[in-house]
Amino acid sequence: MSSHPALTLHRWEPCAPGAIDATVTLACGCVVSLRMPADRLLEVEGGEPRVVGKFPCPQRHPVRWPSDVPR
Amino acid sequence: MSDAKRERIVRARMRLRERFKAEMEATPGRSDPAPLGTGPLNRHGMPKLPIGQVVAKGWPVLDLGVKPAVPRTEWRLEVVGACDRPCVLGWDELLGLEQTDDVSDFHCVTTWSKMDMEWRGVRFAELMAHVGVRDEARHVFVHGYDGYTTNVPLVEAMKPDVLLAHTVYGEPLPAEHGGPVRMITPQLYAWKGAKWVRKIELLTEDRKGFWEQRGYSNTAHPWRNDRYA
Repeated sequence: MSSHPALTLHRWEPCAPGAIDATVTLACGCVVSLRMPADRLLEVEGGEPRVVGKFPCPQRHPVRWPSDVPR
Repeated sequence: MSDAKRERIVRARMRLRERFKAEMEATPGRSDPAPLGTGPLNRHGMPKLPIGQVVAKGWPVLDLGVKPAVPRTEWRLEVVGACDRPCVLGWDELLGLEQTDDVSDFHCVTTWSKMDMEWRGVRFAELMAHVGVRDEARHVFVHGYDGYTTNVPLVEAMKPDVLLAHTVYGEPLPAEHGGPVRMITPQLYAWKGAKWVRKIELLTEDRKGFWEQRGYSNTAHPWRNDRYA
């Protein structure tokens, strides 16, 4: 299973003690909803929150640079 | 540690410094003519914040889903491969090596950075002097107690800010962050520093680790946005 960073956080909400449900766009472009530890939600200095970690892609897209992300 | 042993390590350390000096200065983390990032320059001349990173307020916990509980009294580090004195170090032996305090930044490939972290531990280079790393060794393959593996070029691992860290901010390294001992590689993305480090292999040929086998960069240079293979 290929695992990708999440590039965009669309929504999130607490779902259980120490856990959140989040919908994110992975680096491969897939939009997925995931349950994850609450500490994956990262406050950013001067920016929007995001979730961090590598998450499995349901389509098994290979790990590589997305074509629409500037390098 | 005996005076003779200490003297041997010091001589070995000086030889290693000479061996790697030029090659180390030529690595991207030291000499890239057009590093990508923003902010004032760090101590190596690179922009403080590498491209694509944000400054984290906390310290996220990332792992393979396993957090091994390894008491200090049971922790062992095996060093094998291209060296004259392969060994198994316990906690007391690790503390018997020269200890180093350092402040460095931590850049995770998942786009967050944590700045100015205060570490204490043993320089990887000191460990290499201790085991007598051989000239033919070119690569390092590191195993964690959780089954994680990663590979690092020896020249990168020999940089003075690469530590086998056991203390952060003056406190024992928390288990969720890789305690009792993890490796840190401040001039590479942080996945190159294994948590709960258990075994170090010194290799003559490169071998890819866990994330490197799964499409992530083999070289992992933050100021080149070098995230994927």
